Amino acid sequence: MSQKSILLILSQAPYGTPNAREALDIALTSAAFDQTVSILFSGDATWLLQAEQNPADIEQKSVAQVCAALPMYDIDQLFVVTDDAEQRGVEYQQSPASPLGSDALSAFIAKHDVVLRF
Amino acid sequence: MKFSILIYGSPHNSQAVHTAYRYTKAALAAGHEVHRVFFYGESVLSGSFLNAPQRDEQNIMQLWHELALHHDLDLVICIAAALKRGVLDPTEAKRHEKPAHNIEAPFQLSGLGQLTEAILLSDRLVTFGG
Repeated sequence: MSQKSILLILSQAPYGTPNAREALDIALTSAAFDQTVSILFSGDATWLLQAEQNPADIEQKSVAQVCAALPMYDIDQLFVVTDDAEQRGVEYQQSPASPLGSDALSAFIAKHDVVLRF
Repeated sequence: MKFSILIYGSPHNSQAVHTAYRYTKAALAAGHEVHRVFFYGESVLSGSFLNAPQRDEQNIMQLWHELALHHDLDLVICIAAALKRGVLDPTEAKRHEKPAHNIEAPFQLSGLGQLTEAILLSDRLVTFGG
């Protein structure tokens, strides 16, 4: 099968809607089909990278655990918009996502063949 | 140009499904090919033939149904997103021992691999979110 570089841009909060989890499912499936998948955490989706989440308190499954498992599925191109994370006080420093400034975004997005926004 | 369409916005709480419908119709009218329409997230609810909107409101399932028959469109509903939202075809209704189904052709249930395939085989993938 042919190859395309796929970028998933996440921008919504991890809990409250299923969007983040369902977007990660697309990443996992595409990786299973040997595609190059990158994920950009922006806006409220930077909360996915917050250390020490405890979603059991609201009877939800952990989205952070899915994020942590991504490198095992060869999805290791993870990026966080640092301005967005810092504006929200998200403690992303221990996460595997590489920092990306707002000014570098357009050039970064343009490098990919396909962009999906969630 | 060959397009594929990804929809994940709700048919009831957003304009996403309807905007995607109009976009698809316009692309076809302009002579483009639409390889696949993939319904994901809340948009899977638009495939249910049990939706019964009021007479002066549009039935989005019917609109897609007619467009698909006219243009031989491939309308795929993500099976994982559909099952948890109570959107079932006869096979899945039987498998999960449910008393009814609410999906029929030209809509069909299939996996996320169909989205990956659409990404690979299309020149453009256009996403319609909530």
